Amino acid sequence: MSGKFFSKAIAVIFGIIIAISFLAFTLCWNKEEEVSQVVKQLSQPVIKWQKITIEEEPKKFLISLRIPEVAIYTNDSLSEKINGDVAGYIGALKDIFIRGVKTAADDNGEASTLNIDTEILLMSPRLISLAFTSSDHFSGSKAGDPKRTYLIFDLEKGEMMREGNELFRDDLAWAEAIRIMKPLLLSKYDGEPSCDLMFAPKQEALSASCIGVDYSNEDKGPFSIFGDIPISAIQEFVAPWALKEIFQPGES
Amino acid sequence: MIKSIQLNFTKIKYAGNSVGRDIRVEVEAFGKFFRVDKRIKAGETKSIDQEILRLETVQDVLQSDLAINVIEKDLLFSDTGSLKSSIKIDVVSEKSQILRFNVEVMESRSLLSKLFWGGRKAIFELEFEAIIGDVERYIPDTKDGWFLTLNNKDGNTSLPEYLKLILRYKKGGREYFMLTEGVNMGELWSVTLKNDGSSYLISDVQHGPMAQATYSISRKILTLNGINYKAADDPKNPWDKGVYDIEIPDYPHGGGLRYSEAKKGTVWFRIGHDDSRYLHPGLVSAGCISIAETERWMEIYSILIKARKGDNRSVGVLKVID
Repeated sequence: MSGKFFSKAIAVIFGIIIAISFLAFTLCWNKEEEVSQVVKQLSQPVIKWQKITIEEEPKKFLISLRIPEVAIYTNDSLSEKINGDVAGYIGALKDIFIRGVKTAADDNGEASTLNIDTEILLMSPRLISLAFTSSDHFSGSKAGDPKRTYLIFDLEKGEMMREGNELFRDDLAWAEAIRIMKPLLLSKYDGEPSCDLMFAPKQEALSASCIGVDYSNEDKGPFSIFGDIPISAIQEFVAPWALKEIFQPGES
Repeated sequence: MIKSIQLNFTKIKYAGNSVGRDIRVEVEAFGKFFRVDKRIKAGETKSIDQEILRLETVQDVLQSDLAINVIEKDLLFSDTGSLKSSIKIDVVSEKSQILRFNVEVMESRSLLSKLFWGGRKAIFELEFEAIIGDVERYIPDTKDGWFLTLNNKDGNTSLPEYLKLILRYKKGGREYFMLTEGVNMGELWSVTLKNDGSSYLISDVQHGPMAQATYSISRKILTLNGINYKAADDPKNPWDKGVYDIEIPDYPHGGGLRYSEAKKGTVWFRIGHDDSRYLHPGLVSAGCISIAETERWMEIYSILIKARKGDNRSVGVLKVID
């Protein structure tokens, strides 16, 4: 009698242990589900624009900036990070200009100017792609060509892309795509520039720029060129997920 | 044109009678005072080779009053001879000019010595050398490693830190200079003067010997001064084994702005003199040698930026091995 009772008690205890384990597993599973759901449920970013004008005397300069302010309502920290990176990047361009005004610009009463215009090239569920077109003119010198640079943000990873290699199948594919894009971009330029290629995705294409110098030019000044690269030129190298983002109908 | 003048006291010749051995020479010229003590016997010539002053001028001729005192030091009876004259340096015609002045020193110990031995007179010939040269300066250090200037064609260009140059002239609140090294060597550039009239350009720079780096293709490691750095290259655009020059930086490479932790990440060093292949901070490579430890870029930069190979183009060499 006592033996049967004992066996039943053991069975009940085992049952309880199994039930607790199952519940714990289920809870854990649900927690993971919740995390992945948070990622998936990022709200579509909203961008507000700020126009900033900075003037300074006596060494006159005038800076006009159009800066985006990204808001992702379900993820404040990601919004802050993106806005911080953008502010840091534009701040660096502004700092370079102001130091240049001090050391290079003529003090002839004319104002040196910097204009940075920002454009959203692509805003998809996973990517925010921004282009910055900066034009500067230092008093006493010729205005330089406008320069276009880019910042790309991967919302899923929550970080800025440094080189954009993540958009490609692998690093070799990225390098191969660079080798294809650079001569394509420079094909209409009649000179021998030495420049670095930069690019960012836009709707069904890549926007690309090359900034450097052209010593074959008699001015030997800074060189800048930009344009679009059709995605068909490098499609085979682009990661499938990135192709999906570039081709999906959305805001651009 | 701005020139530098270095005036050296080169020699002293002791002729005539002996008035003693402990000689002090005091020179005053161009508003500066200089003194040297020398032990010398009558009949001897001794070299001094001491710099008296260094000046920069835009004038063709530099002229100043000159006052020289020669003193034979004695506890009781010091004998002194003086000369008031002028000194004139032709800045345009010659690189080195020798200037000589004679100063007589009469012994004046006592009436008795004058009576028995007569007046003893020493003649000191003092030789000076004026060396005319260019005024060397360097591009100053900056936050991002670049210093913006204008060229004589009204364009603007950024120049890397510690680039050597020769000052040419000052005009309209600007300094004009000629670069003596780097990709823009030989061209005339200008920079503003600071509000207080002083110069942005610096003089206290000592370039170091050429840097010698090694890159191992198989290990993906760059070694500089015995320290290893993880790097990346492009296997589809491989490096040939061999020795390449590492160039003085050419222009700001905007890609480096995305590596803010590298600090001076837009300063890249071209490898070789022909292709667009650089040593720079970066996580991937499309043909360059990218230093993947981007936060350590300043360790490499600080060595390379002040190193010089001696060809006016390069900071050192890179040996690419298997």
